[in-house]
Amino acid sequence: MSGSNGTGTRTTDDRPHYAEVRDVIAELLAITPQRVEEIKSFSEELGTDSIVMIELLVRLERRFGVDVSEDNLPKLVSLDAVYAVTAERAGWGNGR
Amino acid sequence: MRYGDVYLAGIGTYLPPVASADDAVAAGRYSADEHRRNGITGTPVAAAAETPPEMAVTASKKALAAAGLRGADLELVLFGSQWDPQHGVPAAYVHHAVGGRPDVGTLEVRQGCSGAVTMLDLAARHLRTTPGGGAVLISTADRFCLPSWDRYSSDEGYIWGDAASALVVTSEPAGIARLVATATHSFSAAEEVCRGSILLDAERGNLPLLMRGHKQRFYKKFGPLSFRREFQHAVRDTATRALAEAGTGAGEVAWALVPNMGLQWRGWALLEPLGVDETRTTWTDHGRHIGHTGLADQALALEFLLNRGALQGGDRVLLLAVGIGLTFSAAVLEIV
Repeated sequence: MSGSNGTGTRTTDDRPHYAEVRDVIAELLAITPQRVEEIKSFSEELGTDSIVMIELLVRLERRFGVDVSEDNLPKLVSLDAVYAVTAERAGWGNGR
Repeated sequence: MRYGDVYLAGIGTYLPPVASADDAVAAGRYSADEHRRNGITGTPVAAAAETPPEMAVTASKKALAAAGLRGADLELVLFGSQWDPQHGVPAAYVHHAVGGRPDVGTLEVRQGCSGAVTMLDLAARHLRTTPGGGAVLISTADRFCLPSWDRYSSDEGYIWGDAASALVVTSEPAGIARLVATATHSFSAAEEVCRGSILLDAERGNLPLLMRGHKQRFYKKFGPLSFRREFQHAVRDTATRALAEAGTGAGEVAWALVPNMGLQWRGWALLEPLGVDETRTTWTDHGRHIGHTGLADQALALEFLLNRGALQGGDRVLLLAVGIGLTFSAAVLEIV
């Protein structure tokens, strides 16, 4: 089973809002959704710094109506990590 | 502000032994990830018994000797520091130690890491209004020490190094360089990052300081990308106005002496808005080996270039500093 988002880009991960989280990251970093899924470390592979990651927190908060503390910044290294933090704050299942 | 008759007559610095960043990572004191992203190899660490005013006096005596002047020749003694919780009146300490005259004022400038370049402008203005001119001492020193400031973790993007610097500025043609122009820029919406009380932090068990947390909360509130744009604008505006006052094109700047900010920041924060690459900074052979030494970065970089013989008469050098507040200060020097 695969999920999808508003742009029609599909993902093999069917967790709730997974594709949406991925697309928020893709838009911010100006990369494709597929590339977001491939990246293991935003800072190592893209040189992303903490200001950009705080902007990601702001966009996730705005999009999903959650409050994500900046204390989580060190955890936000990849899509799965960002999803886990957001899902935990939003109460989406167990965040897996 | 444009100047025609203000000179840098002497420079002096004090740099304690450099401690390796690799060793700090191995000891668990510095994040391996931040080390990789910043590219700073080490930083000077002062002995526990040393205080910033004492360090400033060491640098000041060297600068006075280089200028061929005595403390009694000074018309003003200035001191600035990013982190000196150890002395209540450091400018008076420096004045006393160098033998300043009693009819001469002392002044501390609390403008963080832009303080040295700001004091250059203050010194020039003072000389302009002092009958007969004279000489002004600009002294700086920082010691980033526990329990209040952790050089490796209190803030991100830097390793904070201990150092002192001193410049002697005169109205008589002399020495190293002529001060051609200065400019400043205040981004005071960011002042809230530095609100608070070290005593309160100590009472609440919030030491060492976590500047990074204060900054991150501010970025979130202001808008992270808006902050970045505002910062870049401030750097560009400060430099552009100083260069315009100096009648110097950006391409005519031989060297840009900027803070020793780590690699994760310096591209977007300094190089991009200034329109320079690292071949015109001292990062590669100097800055990355000492980290950010508070107010001393620009003087240490200038001294490094002088010692290396990298400066020619007529070279225009841009000094650009960023301090808490936020305050941005620039100066254009012409090597004599």
